[in-house]
Amino acid sequence: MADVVLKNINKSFGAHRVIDSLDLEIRNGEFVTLLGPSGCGKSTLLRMVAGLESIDSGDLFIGGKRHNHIPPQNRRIAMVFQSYALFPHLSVRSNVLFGLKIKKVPFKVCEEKLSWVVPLLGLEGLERRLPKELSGGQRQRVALARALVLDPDVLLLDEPLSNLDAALRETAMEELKRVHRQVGKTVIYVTHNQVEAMTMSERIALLNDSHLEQYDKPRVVYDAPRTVFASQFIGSPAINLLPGAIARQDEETGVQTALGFLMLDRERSCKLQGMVGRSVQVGIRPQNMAYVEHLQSRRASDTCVELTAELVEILGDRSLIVARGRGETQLRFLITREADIQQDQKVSVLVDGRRVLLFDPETQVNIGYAP
Amino acid sequence: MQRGRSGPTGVHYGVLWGLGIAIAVGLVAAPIFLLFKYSISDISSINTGGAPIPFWPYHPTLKYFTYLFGDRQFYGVIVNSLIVSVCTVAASMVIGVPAGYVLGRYRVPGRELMLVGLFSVRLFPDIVSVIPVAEFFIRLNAHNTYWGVVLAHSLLALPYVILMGMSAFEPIPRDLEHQAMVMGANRFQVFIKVLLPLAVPGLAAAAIYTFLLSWDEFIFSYFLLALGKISTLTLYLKQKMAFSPPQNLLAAISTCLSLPVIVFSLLLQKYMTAGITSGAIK
Repeated sequence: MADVVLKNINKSFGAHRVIDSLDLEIRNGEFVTLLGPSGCGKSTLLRMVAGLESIDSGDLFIGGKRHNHIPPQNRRIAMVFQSYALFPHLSVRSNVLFGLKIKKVPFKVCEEKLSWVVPLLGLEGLERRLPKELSGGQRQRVALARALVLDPDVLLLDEPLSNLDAALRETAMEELKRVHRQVGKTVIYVTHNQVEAMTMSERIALLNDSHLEQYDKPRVVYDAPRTVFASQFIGSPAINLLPGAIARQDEETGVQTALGFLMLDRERSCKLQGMVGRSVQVGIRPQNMAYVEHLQSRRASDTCVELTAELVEILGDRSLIVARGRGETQLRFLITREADIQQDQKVSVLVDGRRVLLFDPETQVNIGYAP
Repeated sequence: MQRGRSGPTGVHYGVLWGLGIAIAVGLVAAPIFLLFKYSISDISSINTGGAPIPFWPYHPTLKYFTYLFGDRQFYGVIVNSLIVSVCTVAASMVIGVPAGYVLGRYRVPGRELMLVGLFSVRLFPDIVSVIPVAEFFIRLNAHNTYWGVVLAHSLLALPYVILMGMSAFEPIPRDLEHQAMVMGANRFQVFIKVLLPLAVPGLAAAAIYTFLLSWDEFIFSYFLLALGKISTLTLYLKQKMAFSPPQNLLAAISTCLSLPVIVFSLLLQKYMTAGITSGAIK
């Protein structure tokens, strides 16, 4: 059991900077996801914690001890690689016990560990098989079992689900969550898949272009993204972004866009009074736009905008509408299956002012973001 | 029109393949057959007095083998050849496998130069390179010794062992190595427990090659051993040829020379199957 602290970490590959003065603190027993697009440095960061990658400058503490120069074999960590890296010449049993045998753990303890982990991950009856005789999901579970028997302080997972098909990934996610709850290890999980990050982690460290974009609970990252990038990377379908400016209309402070004047919630409306005229980047999630045929039940903070539907994409339980508003502004929003919108139909949509995000166009940072 | 696999093209294709394989097998088998046939032929089946040599000897006989196996010197040279070959395999594997591992998996500065240097001895015909080598070995007092000829054969085999070792280690995924390290293994344990077992097919091929090379080698053995007491099978064959004996005896010796080669290859063949690493990486 240990916490992991990264302080002012830097790393370059030649002239290319992969990690730029990054700070990150992971609490003991926490499940933290490093999320970000390909090449953002998340895997490099994980491999630094594992000791497979050197640290140019900065400090890495595991369990309070500086680990910069401790070789991987002397760190109390375990890792599951994206490729699973099962030893092809060894049976499932030998694969799982590999680390314990290296550490010269007595046979009896090995057997105990095996009889603990095999049912935990549903590997009954597979002990004698070779990796090539296993399915993708089974291989993933063997890789996880192999990591868990080592009783590591920190468990490092490098995109362990990216090779599974969608259905299997869902069960594997639930299973990982269950295992984490049962063993209570500190877990660092790397993925580029926002769904995995949202469902499993206690905190998400969103990385972009070698720096930390935001580090918070999934809920917060979704509701209050610190930057434009964070708002775009998390949430599906992608957020609508349009330029605007803080403005006043009918004694209310809101935001003026090509679509018209958008209302905000009362609290923010008061706060922004002094900023009238300031230009902003407006973000509206498709989930925060509601299509209602009868406009009785609207809040004071809702704004009704007139749009023309251009494209209807059926997603299953809901449909995604790509529509065009005034000033050639394209917007995407979701409707339930009960609602029926045809192409070229004119619709009125309510924008929830409480959920409208405002970013500074210069710094790309959320206005009014308070960590 | 649709043409299935059993259609006319399919049949022609199959016949062509069959023919190709038959020719290939024939090319390999014919000399072996001739060798064997001569070794069991009686004199009348060879000195036919103008008549064509029969496909199968008139009176097959094992008397040349009986002669060989009755010759005490013959046992001696077989044992010598075995000692030299096995030691050569051991020496070149012990040196060549770690070298192949390092050259195959790490960016070693001057790697290309090293490989060229290693191969330089084989860029010349053996008869050319043997002279400086023999001179050097004589100065080291390595002539007429087992270790001298083992060293010379290792010199010939090493470039190939290193090259085959490199290609045996190169395709092993790096993740396996890293995984073992994260699980607590040091570099030596990674090598012994993960990399070596996975490289076995490629290394077995290198071992076979080395064995064959040493078992069949003549020129270096001749220059280093011919004046001493140690004799190998190839030198024995040469010695018998000097007395121009009947072809049958030479064929019998050659058969004995070839037999272990065939047996050795068959035994290690199962390690040469590809695809052992499948399942490591999804």
